[in-house]
Amino acid sequence: MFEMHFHNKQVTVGNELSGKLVWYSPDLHLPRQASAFVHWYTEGRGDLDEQTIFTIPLEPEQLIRDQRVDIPFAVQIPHGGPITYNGSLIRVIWAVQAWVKLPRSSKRDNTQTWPFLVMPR
Amino acid sequence: MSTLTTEELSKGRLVAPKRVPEGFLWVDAKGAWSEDNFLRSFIGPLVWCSFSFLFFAALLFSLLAAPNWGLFVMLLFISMFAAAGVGMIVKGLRWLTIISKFHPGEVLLASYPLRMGETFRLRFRRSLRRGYTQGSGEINAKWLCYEWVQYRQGTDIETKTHILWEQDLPLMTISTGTQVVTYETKLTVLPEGPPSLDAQHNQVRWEIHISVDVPGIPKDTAHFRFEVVPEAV
Repeated sequence: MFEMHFHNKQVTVGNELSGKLVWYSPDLHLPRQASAFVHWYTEGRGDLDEQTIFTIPLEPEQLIRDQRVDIPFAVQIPHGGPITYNGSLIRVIWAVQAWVKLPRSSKRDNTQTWPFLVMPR
Repeated sequence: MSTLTTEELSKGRLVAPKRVPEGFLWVDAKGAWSEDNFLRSFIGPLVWCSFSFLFFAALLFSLLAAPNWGLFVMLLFISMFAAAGVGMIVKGLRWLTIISKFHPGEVLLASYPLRMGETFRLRFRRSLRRGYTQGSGEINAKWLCYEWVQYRQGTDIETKTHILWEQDLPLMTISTGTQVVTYETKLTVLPEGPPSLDAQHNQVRWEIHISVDVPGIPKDTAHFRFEVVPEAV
C-alpha cells in the first residue's frame, strides 16, 4: 500500500513537482512487480490520449514487509504542458499513479492515483 | 452547443511555421497542388462514381426491361450514392478551379508561439496566378478557439467540436484590378486561454479562418492554426 506526500500539489509548467511515495504493508505477500509514474491523460468525449512524463525508480526489492519505505521523487513539468483542463468535451488530468503485482497474480493489484494541478506560467 | 461544419473544420495536427526574414510563415496546404489533395478530390470520387454509376445503369436497364417495385426501390437507393459521387466530383472541380486561379493563402506573424493574453498583428496574402480581379470582392475572417475530439464508435471514427470562443473580424473590400489580396488585422488571445492542446484524439485549437470572395472564382476559406503556449503575458 502506498501513500503520497506532495511537496506542492499545484505546479506551474516548467517547474518542478516533488514529493514522496511511501510504501507500507503488513501483508505477508510482497509484490513481485511495482511501478510508479507521473503522467497526464484525457477524459471526456474523445478517445484516450496519455503520456508518461517520468517513471519513478522503483524496484520490488525495495518494498519490505512491515517497514516504511520512502521513495522521494522530483520531476520537471514540460514548458509546453499540457495544463490541467476541464472543458466541455475534454478534460486533461495530471496524476501520479502507482501499482503493484502480487505473487500468482497476472493483473495489476492495488492501483492508486493521486491527481495534482498543472497551471500556466 | 455551437459546433463547426465539416467544411469549416481544418485537418491534422499543429504545423510548424517556416522561418522567413519577416517572421513566421504559414502556407495553406489545402490551397496548394499536392498528389494527396488530387487523390482525395478526384481519384477517390472517380472510383466511387464508376461503381455507383455502373450499378445505377444496370438497375435502370433492368427496370426498363422488366418494371417492378423491388428494382425501383433499389434504383432509388443507388441513386443516392450516384448523387453523392456527383457532389464529390463537383467539389473536386471547384478545388481545381481555385488552385488554378490562386496561389495558396499565406499568413505572416512577427513572433511565435503565441501566449495567453497576447495581442499580435497578422498579415494574410493570397495572389492571383494570372491577371487581376475582374470586379470588387471581399474578405471576411473569423478568429476562434474550439475543442476538437475524435472517437471510435463501432467501426466509424467520429469527430465532434465545441466552440469555446469566436470573433468575427472586420470585413474588407477587395477592389477591382487587385493582383495580391492582402488582409491585416490585430488579434488577441484571451488572457484566460485555454492554451493549445495538440494530442492525437483531443485538441484545443486556436485558428483564423479567412474567406476570399472575388467574382469569377469560387469562394474559398483558408484555415491557419496557431500554438498558444501555457504562459501568460
